[in-house]
Amino acid sequence: MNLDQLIDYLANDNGFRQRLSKWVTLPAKAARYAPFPNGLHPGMIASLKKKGIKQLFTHQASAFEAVSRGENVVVVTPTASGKTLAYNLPVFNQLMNDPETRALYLFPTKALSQDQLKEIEDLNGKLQLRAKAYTFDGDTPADIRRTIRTAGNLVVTNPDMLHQGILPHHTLWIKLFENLKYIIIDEVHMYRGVFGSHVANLMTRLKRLCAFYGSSPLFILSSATIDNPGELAETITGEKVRLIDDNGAPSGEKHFLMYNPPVVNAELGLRRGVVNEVKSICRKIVPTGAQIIIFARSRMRVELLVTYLQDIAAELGLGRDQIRGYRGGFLPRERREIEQGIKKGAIRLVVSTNALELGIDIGQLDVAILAGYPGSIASAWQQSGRAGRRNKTSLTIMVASSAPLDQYLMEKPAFFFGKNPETAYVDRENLPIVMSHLKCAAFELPFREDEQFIPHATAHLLDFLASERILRKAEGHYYWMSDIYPADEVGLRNSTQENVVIVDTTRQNKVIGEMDMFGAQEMLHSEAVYIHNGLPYYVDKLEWEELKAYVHRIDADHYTDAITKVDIKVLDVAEEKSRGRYAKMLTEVAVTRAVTGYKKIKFKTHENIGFGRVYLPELEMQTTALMLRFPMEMLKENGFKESETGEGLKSIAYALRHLAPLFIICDISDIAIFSVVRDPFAREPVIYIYDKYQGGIGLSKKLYAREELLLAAAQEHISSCPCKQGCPACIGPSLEHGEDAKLLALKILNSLELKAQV
Amino acid sequence: MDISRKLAYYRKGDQKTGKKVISSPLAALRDHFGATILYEEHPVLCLERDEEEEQADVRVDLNILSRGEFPTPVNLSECLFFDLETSGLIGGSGVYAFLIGFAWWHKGRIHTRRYFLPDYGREPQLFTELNPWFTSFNYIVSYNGKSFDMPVLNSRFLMNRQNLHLMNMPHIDLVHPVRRVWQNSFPSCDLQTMERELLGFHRTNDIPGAFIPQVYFDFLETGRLHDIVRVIDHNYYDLVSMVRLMQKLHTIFNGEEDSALDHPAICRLSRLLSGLSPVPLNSFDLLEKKATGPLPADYLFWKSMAMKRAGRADQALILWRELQNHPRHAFAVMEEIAKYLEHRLKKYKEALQVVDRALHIMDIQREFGYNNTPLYREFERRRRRLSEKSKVKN
Repeated sequence: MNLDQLIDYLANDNGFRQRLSKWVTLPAKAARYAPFPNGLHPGMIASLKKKGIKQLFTHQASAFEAVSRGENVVVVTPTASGKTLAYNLPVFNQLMNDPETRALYLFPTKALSQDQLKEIEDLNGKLQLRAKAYTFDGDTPADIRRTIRTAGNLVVTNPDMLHQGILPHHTLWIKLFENLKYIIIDEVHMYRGVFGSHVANLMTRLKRLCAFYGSSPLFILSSATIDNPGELAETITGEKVRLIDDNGAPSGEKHFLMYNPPVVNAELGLRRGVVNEVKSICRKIVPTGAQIIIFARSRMRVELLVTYLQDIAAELGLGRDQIRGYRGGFLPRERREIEQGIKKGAIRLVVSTNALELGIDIGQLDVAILAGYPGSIASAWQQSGRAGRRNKTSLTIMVASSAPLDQYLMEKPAFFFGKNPETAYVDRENLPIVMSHLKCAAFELPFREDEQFIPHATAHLLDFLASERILRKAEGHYYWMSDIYPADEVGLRNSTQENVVIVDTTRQNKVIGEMDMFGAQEMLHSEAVYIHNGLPYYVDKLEWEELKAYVHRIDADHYTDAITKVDIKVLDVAEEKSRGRYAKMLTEVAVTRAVTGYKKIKFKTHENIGFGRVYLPELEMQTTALMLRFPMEMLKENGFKESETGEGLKSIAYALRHLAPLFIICDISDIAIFSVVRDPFAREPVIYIYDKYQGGIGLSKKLYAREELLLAAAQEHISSCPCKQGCPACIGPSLEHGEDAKLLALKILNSLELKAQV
Repeated sequence: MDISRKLAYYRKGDQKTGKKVISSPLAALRDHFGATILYEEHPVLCLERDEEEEQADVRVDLNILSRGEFPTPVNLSECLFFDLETSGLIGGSGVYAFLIGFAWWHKGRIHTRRYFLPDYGREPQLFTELNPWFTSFNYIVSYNGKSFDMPVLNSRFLMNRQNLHLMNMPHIDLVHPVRRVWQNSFPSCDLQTMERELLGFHRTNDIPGAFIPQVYFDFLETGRLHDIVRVIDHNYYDLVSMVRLMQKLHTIFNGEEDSALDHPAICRLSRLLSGLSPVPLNSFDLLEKKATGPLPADYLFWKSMAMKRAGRADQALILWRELQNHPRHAFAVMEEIAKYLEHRLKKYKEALQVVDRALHIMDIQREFGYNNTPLYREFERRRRRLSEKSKVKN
């Protein structure tokens, strides 16, 4: 059975069709071509023709033309649309004219850069250029590093390596900086939130050094489909960037199915779990011989799905090793092996986190199943792009979970298909992040007194660092005055640099993975059941000081889910506005979080079968928060008792948090929410929505501007939810709140007299 | 005129003369060391000091110790020695060289000249003047300078948009020959250890290298002199020791006075010699004169390998026979003996006996859990081949 037959078969399967809230068929798109642009070197044209390329796609040609005019460009490209050629054409063309040309390629991850180097070398070989391309990362041997510095035309690296290995040693890279013509940034949509702030600052540092060496390179960027690729590219590069989103690549017919699992308990508003539902969809599809990729929302989900699917491997007619998981926390060699397995077809079913959403070359698969809404429209399309070989039909099935966001989209598929993907937001001026890059920049090159690093504030910040004796002001410059190497103190991806390593005591203390500190508190606390590669491990001890978690294999019938305690203190109020019935405030807050205990959850039934305590130090952060104040007076007028207010606010908070990603591109885990009836600062009932990152990354600032939309969406969603007393899809699981919670939440929301329309 | 306007007037007067007042810590340093201050605009302290040295060989032979990198003797008076004190110990472009020390040999005296930069931003004029001076030397000598001092100084020059002339000169980094000889003799091969162990020089009141950046920062902040003086002295001793160490290296294969070598050094040197081509067999005789007590087995082994490479396998065989019972080398020399018997003497049966014996010992060792599978397989292959050959011969 091929894919078209499978689609027919599903269309005729009534049981299956009933579950669909929407079946959208996107028609195939024919290719649009453009002739070779004038500026293209005749040698290039000859080689391209030899390669079988007789003309360019429209976006490839217009990118080339814009770069030739001296413009920076960002090319918006779905997967498999000739992206590599689009950004390499200007580079290779320049190399034909000037063999000393240098170009710097930045990929978001090490894995991706090694993957893309292969493609660049391939193109290099086919075009018969003698350009030397190298990856430069932590694994590059010392003797090759010397060659790369002096002779590498194309240096392929990642932001972390640029930050720690290249910029602080720029005098060794003089050849690169003097001859740098192009900076290629692939997958720029990945650089949002904290990572984006870091990369934007990193680019300022890079440009500063280029100016010192007298080069002014152009930026060539590529992005997946998001709402504001041009704006994002301009924030990241700090330059004017031309947007090229007229994609000329052909695409096959695409079927996108919205699948809502059946309601199993109308009272509680419970639907069948995503994991079980995906399992039964796999039962239908696997026999057709299709190669399937399943995207799950968390590492934990990936492991659950792998375990369940491997259990029924025999029934599916697959070997256990034909079903594999893929996620962060695996060792690089292990990952490489899985990628190869997928490419060669040896692995028939792969379950992945969004780690495989990125451009790692695993070939194209037949079917993509999204186990739960991935959190953003952009991601959903990106994941869906993994299915469907070029020009051929593809199938994506998005299986909704009981989460409010998923259910909201199932109710309103038009919101998903009609709306532009979300805005990616980067806060260039997050203070802790700017500070750490300012230090790195001062280490790299002394600051002139009048130099601008970020608009307006540079001199203040430099003076502050001088007063802290990290810089010294002399001869009209600020000099680095410390014997530390500042780039080592900052990681680009996390607020914390350190990782906890996971040690398996049953296998001669073999390290089986690692995890960031926040994740480790929640998944690797002592007595946790941690699932790795589908196998449950018991955590004997989390050595917090040594950053080690000692685990051993067990046969468990349950896993654990951490309970986190939060405390918020307001430090400063930045903005404040009354909205008549309620007020909003943009505040600076100190949040302390600690994992205090955990729940034991039984596999399959997901029953709660016990609790345990955890003793770990609190992790503190300073961040920004949107505070919504609901005046006691107003609530009293409407006849609310204090306990009722608490109940209602908690329910609203739940909905707000889950619906927020509809309006800003972020993960649910990027923001956190907290409600309290007697807030010590406001002395009134409030809800806080805060960025879960040190210094804040501008998410709550963005929400501050559209809080009414968010409240209105919550109101609409809760009122149209078919459950009776509240469910995980609207205000949270019914066991965790009182019988009236849904009613109370709606009463409070209605009393706000919201005017906004979603 | 009120007092603040008066003050402003006086300050203006100062500026008019264009002279920067030399800071009092800098003046104190100048007086303490009897140094001179260069460049009025951006002052740099220049310290000179020289001392008489016992007459020694001015031609330094590094042929063997540099593994042929410097085949002809180096004339000491053509060498410029250098050593930096810096604001950071890891490197990177933010590291500032605040003390740049040089030494050279002239007419029986060690001359030193050190430039102390009393603040940031004092480099441009100094660097411009240093570059032409460098051309009067033909070699640059350092201790661990290839991986630290030279890249740092080069980085400083580049940041001031100048090219460092030293980069084009042959660079003798003494740490490499020193490690080739004494790596196994002392717990560390840093310069202070070497001067204590080899030159018998004990510093007093020396400042540990790790504290040096902080001492400079404290000087910048407070102008206190006590520790920075120790740093400037530290740099002087580093320079002088380097000159002496270079002469010391010369005496290993030249001249016999006061140069006993310990066993680890003898062994490392014999290994070094055995790898050179042509093999300097007579250098082994020199080593043996300097050795104290019976010669170590490692030494004999490498000497035998050198003999073999020099085409004197017949003499090597005598050493191999001796070493057969030495646990560290038993299998290696048995292999050599077997090869020699098989290929050169064509005595297959005798060779087979040696191989059998080696395998027998290995079998016993395997029972105790000691496994060297590749070597074992190698002997097994050899045994198969030898038994074929001996059959054919019969």
